[in-house]
Amino acid sequence: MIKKLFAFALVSLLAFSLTACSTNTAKGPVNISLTLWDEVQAPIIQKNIDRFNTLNEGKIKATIELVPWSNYWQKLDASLGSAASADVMWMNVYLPKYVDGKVVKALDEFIKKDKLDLTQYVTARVDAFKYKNQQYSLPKGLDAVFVAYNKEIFDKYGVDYPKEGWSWDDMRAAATKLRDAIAAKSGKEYPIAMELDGQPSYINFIQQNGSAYLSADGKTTNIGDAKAIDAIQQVVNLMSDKLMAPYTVLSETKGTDMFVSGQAGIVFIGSWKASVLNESSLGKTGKIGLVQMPKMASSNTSVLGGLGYAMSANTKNPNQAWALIKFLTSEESETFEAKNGIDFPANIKAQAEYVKSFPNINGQVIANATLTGFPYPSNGNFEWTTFVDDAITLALSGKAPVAETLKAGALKAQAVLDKLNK
Amino acid sequence: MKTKRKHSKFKSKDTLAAYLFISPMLIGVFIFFVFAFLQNIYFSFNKVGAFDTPTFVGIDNYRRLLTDPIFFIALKNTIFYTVLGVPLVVFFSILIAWFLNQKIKGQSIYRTAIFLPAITMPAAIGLLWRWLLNYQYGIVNYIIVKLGGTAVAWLSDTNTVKWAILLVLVWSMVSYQVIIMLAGLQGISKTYYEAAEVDGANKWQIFFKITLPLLSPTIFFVTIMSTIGILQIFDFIFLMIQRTAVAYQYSMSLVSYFYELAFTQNLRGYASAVSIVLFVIILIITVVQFVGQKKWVNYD
Repeated sequence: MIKKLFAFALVSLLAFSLTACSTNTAKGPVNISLTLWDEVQAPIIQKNIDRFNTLNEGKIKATIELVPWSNYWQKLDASLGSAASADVMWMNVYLPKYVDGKVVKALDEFIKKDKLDLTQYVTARVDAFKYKNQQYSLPKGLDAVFVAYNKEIFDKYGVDYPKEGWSWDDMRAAATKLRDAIAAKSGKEYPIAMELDGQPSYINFIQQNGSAYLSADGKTTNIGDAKAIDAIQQVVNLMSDKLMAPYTVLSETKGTDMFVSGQAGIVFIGSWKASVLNESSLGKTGKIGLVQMPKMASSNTSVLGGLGYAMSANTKNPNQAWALIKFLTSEESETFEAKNGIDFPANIKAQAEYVKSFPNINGQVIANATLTGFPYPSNGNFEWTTFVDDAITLALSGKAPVAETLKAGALKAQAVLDKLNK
Repeated sequence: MKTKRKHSKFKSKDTLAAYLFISPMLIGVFIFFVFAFLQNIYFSFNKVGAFDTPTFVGIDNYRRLLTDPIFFIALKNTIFYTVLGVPLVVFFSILIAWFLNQKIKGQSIYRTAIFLPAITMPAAIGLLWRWLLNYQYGIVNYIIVKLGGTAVAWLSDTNTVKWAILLVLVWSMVSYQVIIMLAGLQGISKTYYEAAEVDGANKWQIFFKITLPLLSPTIFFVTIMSTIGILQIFDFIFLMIQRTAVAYQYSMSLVSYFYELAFTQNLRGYASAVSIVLFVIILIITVVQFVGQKKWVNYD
């Protein structure tokens, strides 16, 4: 009997705990959640949210759900699919997938209702979140790619700093001088380091050499054409000429880590690493110089990524969620982010503060890079990009001839793209 | 007759309580294993995107597998890890358990040290070894160079990367299996050893004629568990090799490929087909092992 009672108690306890989370009281402020992945940005955004909560005291209460990058998208997919997601979420180039899945809400009605001025944001970033003629996200910030160089290494080996308007040939010349001087003094540094991810590296080179990772209409990949092959070949040559750290080293140690630990003279780097540069011991001692990417055959344009805030289609409180999105992308909020140097603001009026937020590096270079950038090439499908990225990876590794590898990868990727476009 | 009825009465009264007690676990198993498994089978015959409703495509996903070179690379790698990993795990767990079972000083320290990896998170193990084996800064290469050798690019040389993963895999799996082996060793009655000593058997004879045969049920269990475990290898590859490094293409396992398809490329249906193939492989191997055990496993 006692056993039975105990079992009954246990089961009812279990049942109660299951319902406990759904018996939310209707009284009090409306709860809104925001999910994001960056633990560096979270505390700053939390302060913006605190101000939002104070402004809406008793009406809305917003909270952050921090999910690490490594499983952010998996968790988002699962929660959106089961209608249990946060109300507002960070969004990037993956947007089309979520629109096609009908799990994010178009913001046009809210924009119209509030007569929100979209020209306060960088146009390229507003357009990046436009899909099928509807606006799905308001831009938070943008990322550009540029070059950082270690003044200490250049001084030590007596090589002139890179100058604005430099070309790929100038970079090779400087790196050659560094290589020879390093060898002469039996130093251990590498002239150039690079991340193996596409955004801070080959997506730029392919575009700069006059080709395209993905055509502007999103229907063709050009990585198999002569200009793309040449771009990748030039990177491979940097490695075989010992102007860049060998592939083995790059695949085990991140280019950025090598650079900030004084192992590399030059690194291609994105603005999302600006605070890392600024806070590094090299940066604090004024040893880091920034310069635009070197010009390849056609330009020195760099890829512009960036985040925005999107709304879940399942949210029970769309008006409150919209209020949060509007608040977080306002001049005031983005200025606060810029002051703390966590993101280059997409809100134009907030941009001036960003440049000032990095006392140890020249933020103006980053601001300038955003002016000549091109939008991140994506159509929301990641089946074809896997073929492209794997082919480029294989080509960069020197394990296989560049031309054949890229052509084969382009062929496979194009087959996927053609099926999508049918 | 009377006793039987009493028995069944006793059963019905307690069954309810028993089921209630195991219900939290049972519900979890049904939702996360049984339901997920059945859904997986269903998905493998459908085209499923990230949020789409599945569309039936028959055996298209399985047909596609046959012409997918990456699938065969992943399959080959998985077989490599299993064929080499299982014997190594079994060998080292017997060896270490046998040593730990001797009367040596500091026995409990050794036992703790051996068991530590088993209670360490795979993420920590992966990151630890990633740095130990780092080409430039790793301590392993540091020692090799100090001893006059040349540094090995363990994790980025496409020829060595699988061996490096195998090393970490075996190292991390052995510790748990040692405990099981140790329990098996201690379950062997002392009378056998005493009798053997009286008969004048030497250490080796005792080990091969008494210990091994009597340990065979445990060895069988460890073999089955480590085969299943290694066939599902994913975490160490994911943690130690950058996705954007070419070494990944040379070391990926079936589960890596499944993860990639399901969560990066959003091809959930096709990914399900990969996982079903892995399931069938595990099933066949396990059945074969169960049939084969009759030849070598000794149940007292």
